Amino acid sequence: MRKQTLLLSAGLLLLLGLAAFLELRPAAPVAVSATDSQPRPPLLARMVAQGGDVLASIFAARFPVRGKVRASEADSNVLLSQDSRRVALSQAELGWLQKHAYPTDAALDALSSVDLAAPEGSLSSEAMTLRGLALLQRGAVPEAIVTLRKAAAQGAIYAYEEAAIAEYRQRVAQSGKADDADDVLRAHLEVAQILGDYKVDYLTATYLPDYRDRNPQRAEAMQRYTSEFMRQLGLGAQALGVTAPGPDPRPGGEQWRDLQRLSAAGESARVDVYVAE
Amino acid sequence: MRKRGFWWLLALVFLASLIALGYWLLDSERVPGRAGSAPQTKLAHANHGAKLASRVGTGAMPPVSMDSQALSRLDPRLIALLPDELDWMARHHFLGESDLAALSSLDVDALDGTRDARLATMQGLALLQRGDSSGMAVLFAAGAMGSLYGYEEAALAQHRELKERLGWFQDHDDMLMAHLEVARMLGDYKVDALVAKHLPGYPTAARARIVQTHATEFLRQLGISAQMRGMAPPVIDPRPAEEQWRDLQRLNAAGASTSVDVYVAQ
Repeated sequence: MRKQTLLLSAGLLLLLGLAAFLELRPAAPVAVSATDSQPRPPLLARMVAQGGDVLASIFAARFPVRGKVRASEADSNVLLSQDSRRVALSQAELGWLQKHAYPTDAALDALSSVDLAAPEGSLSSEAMTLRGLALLQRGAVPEAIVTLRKAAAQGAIYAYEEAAIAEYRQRVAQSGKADDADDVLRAHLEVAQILGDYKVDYLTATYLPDYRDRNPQRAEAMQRYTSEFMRQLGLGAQALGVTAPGPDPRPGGEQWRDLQRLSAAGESARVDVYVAE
Repeated sequence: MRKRGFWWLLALVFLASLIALGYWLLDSERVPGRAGSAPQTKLAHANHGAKLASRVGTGAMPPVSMDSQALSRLDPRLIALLPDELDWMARHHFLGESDLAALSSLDVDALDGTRDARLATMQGLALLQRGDSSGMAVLFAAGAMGSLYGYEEAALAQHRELKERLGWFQDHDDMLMAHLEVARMLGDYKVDALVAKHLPGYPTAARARIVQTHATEFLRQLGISAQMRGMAPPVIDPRPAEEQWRDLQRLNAAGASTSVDVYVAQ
């Protein structure tokens, strides 16, 4: 009987100890993750152990691609000579393009079939971008600019750039080329660069080849416009009840610069470009 | 015999309760923590962070009536003219009075590696308060996590340190101006007060190009820093009540004053 009592007591003690341990232990990590709403990145150590470029691994995890990916080869000099804002040199860059609603070739080809009668109320940033581009294609420039800016407030950087170009063209067509219009476009392109797209360089070179930002008055105007356009983007997002964009650098900057250096040296290379199907 | 068994059982239950109580006390004693205390487990660090996070949650007192001229002598970044502005301050981790008062007793080691922007802001400020310049890096990291106040304080600390160590250079003023421009672009128009205080007479037009170049680069770095942490980048979020604030400034500049209701985070 005494043995039985001892065994029973020992078992009970073990159970109580286990219950106390389980009760106290998990509280802390759970509570912290409640304050940390952000997803955690893959462990650096695991990435290093797997080998390869750590930064590329981080970007790949940060910008996952939706849909099937098709890779093809292109000549680097051909890419650099045209508007390659929608071209990705890596899957991470393609994921970034998708995140910021850069339209695919197929979507641009189908612009004429975009239904403009459909209400725009709950359109995604991608759909809003296509609607804006369709409006632009049909000559409704002021409406297109408004729609593209709404898409931009939801994070569509391509839409922001296209709105800036459309506004600039309209202004130049109405009043001729003027310093102020150049300052405004330059500031819009600076905003796009701040949001992450270093490839606006192509637009700067195309539309403002002789922009004189070394002139203090121009530089000051451009700086003031840039801050103001950022504020307007934030206010636009607040008005729409969405989270405004922030600086989210596009991956692949170093690769594109390498291609530019190669081109400057009079050479070219075959490079892989990625497209989502 | 049965009676003895019962007493054995009771004694063991009592013993187990004592062990559980001891474990609990040991754990809660580590939570407040003190710098230089015994080495702490990761579990205790996490626990500390979680409990502190719940304690420093912003609470608002009813508005206080204040003379607008007196208001201009305070740090305007920590004062709200509207409840919406107070919410904005909480979102961007502008600390309340009790948070700032708690800095001197904060266990900074326990917050190492925190991914909570508010806690990182407190850790950075506490380190700076103790003369440890690593607080600057912690505050910049807090900025990448979304703490606009942390970012502004980091910029001021960097400017102060560069001036102390290397003397005055135009570059240092340009960098501070660019950092404050970053804060303005992300939404805080009240950095005007920091410009007036720390960069009086700054040649805005002459240095605009370099400031914009720096500001764009600093924003890129903020974005990269957030990406490396697997976190969303800080977003543009204009601070409310700009017009009311500008009206007060115009009134003060004209030598007049008025009584205004202000909200302060506790």
